[in-house]
Amino acid sequence: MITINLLPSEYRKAERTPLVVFLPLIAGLVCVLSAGAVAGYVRFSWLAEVRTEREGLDQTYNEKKPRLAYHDNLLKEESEYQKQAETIKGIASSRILMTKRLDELCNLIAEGDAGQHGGFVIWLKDLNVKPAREQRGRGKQKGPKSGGEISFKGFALADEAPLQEMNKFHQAIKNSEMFRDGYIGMTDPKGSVQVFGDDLTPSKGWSLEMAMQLKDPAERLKEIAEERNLQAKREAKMKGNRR
Amino acid sequence: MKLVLNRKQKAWTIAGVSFALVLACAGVVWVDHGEIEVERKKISDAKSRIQKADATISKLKSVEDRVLVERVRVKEYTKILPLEKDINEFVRRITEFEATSGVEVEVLDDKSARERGKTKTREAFVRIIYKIELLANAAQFLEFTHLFESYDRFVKVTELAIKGGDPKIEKDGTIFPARHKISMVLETYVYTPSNSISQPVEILNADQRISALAEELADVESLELESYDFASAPRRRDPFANPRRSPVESDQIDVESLEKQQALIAELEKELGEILKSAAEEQKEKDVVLRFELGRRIDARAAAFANRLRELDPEKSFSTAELTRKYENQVGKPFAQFLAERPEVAGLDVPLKELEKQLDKMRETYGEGNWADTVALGTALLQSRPEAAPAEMASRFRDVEELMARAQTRLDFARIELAFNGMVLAKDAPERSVVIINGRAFSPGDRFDEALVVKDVRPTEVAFIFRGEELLRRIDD
Repeated sequence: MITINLLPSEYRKAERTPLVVFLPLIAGLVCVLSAGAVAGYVRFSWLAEVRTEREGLDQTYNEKKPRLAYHDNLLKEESEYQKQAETIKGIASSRILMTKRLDELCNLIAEGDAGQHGGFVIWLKDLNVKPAREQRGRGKQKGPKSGGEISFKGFALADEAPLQEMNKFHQAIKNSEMFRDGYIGMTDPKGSVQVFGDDLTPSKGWSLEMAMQLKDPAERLKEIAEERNLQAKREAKMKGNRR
Repeated sequence: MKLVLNRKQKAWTIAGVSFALVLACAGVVWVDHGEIEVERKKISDAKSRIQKADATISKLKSVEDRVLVERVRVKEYTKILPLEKDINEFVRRITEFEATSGVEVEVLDDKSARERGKTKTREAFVRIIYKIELLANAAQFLEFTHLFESYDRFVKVTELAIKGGDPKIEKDGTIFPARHKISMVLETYVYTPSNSISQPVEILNADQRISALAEELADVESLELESYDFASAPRRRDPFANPRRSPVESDQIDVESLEKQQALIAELEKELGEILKSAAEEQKEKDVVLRFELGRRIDARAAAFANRLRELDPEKSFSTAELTRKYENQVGKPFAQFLAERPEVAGLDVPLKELEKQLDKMRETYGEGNWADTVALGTALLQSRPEAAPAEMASRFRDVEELMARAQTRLDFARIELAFNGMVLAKDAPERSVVIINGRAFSPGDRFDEALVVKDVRPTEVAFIFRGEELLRRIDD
């Protein structure tokens, strides 16, 4: 039988949502609301909490920054002062006492006048002192470091055999305490005999041309300090043996 | 056109929309989770930074101490370098050295000194160069160089060129000794800390902290410049002067020897002139104390001069009668007249030098801690003390007595047996610190016996007052 509802639509009984639609609607709503809740929790609780903690730590670190800057400035100043102390030490140990070196040379020549070292008469015409040249280029310099050079020209005077006089002078320098103390080497003797051809004596001279390499003053001071330490150790050992 | 869906389609649509919304939420969660991971990493970094910062901050005190020690070290080291005022006065110093040594400065280039500071540099040490050209014989030049090298501020001769000269013989036969042409380059450094450290870091109570850093500062050694004990040798042959002679000259009178003799007379004359000038100034001096002090110095100088003349035998020292006469007229007689007016000089001669030598020896033994030797040397010296010693000598004997007394004090102090059994240090109130010596407790100010008072208790040593002097005894001794 066919039933027809003749009531106007506003008086008709409302139709229930079909179950086929209602169930997915409810299920979908539950899922969406749950997902929204999870998303909300993650964003507004979890993430916010972590952010707050991080901001707090940043704040703590920022509060420490002035002390850290103070520390860095102190370190910078310390390093600068250390550098300066080293520079002054370097300056102080860079000096070669020219009075000592020249006085010793004059003494040696005077000793030759007095007949020591076999006797010789030396007449210096020129003397030059040059500082050590800066080491350029790659590669390490071989041998000890030079502190500069003393070079001189002149004559070893004699009436008979000036070459012998020159050799004696050269040998006297090599054997001298001053040479051991202050120099690392010297050039081999070279020159030629010169007959002056006047009536003055000595009548001949061997032209001298020598260059002596000075020890690097810092290295020399180090050697002296090492020698002193060794001496102190030896003395201490001797005292110990006596006991 | 209206879209009409049947039930099935509606159901699928709802499911699809829901799924899309859930997916969107999942996406948000995924992004936020990533964000959380990033934040956690930042937290971990921040924590580690804070930890490092705390560790750094905890070391601040020791860094401050190190900086204070370095400041003291650099201040101590820079004492060897000239100050600004020394540089400004350096030209005057060169003039003084020129007059003292007898060299003749012909050219002085101090451009480098005058132009310092005009160019900006970040270096704390500014190098200053002086170029000098002069005329001198070897002895004068060595004296001149020595004056620079023994100057208490660092000066270095970096370059040098000597060109031997010839003696000058005037028409009247007067010989002027050879003077050589010398050019030299001197170098020094001025310390300008503001070039590299604009403003030192301000450390609270720096001065008090420095005084508390005694142990660390004990390692700060002062920088000493190497020195040479140069003794002028006016009679030594000048190696740059031509030693060749004519046979006649060699047989009769050695020209070089004459040059030396003339130079010696000139030197003695100069020295005497200075003594007489000082004596004239002494007469003009109105201040009694200054006059006394000036007189004392003149006596000492005159005594040394008298001693020098005594060693010089005019008969043997001068080859010609003319030179002997010159010496007598210009040096011997005027000085004898001067001595006649100042009898107090007579007693100051060799013994004074010997006394000074012995006194130096005493100082050396005292410095080395060999106080028994100091006392022995002092006792021997005091036994030889004349009853009426001249003022200069009496002053040296007073030094001997004083040094001997100090050495004796140290010897006696070293003999006192002090066994340290323990200590309690009160950092905030040092006067409440306690040290246990020979089983008895003492605080600063307590008397150990009649002569010995505990002054201060320190972590490694105890300071005592003994016969008015502060002496230390290490705890581990």
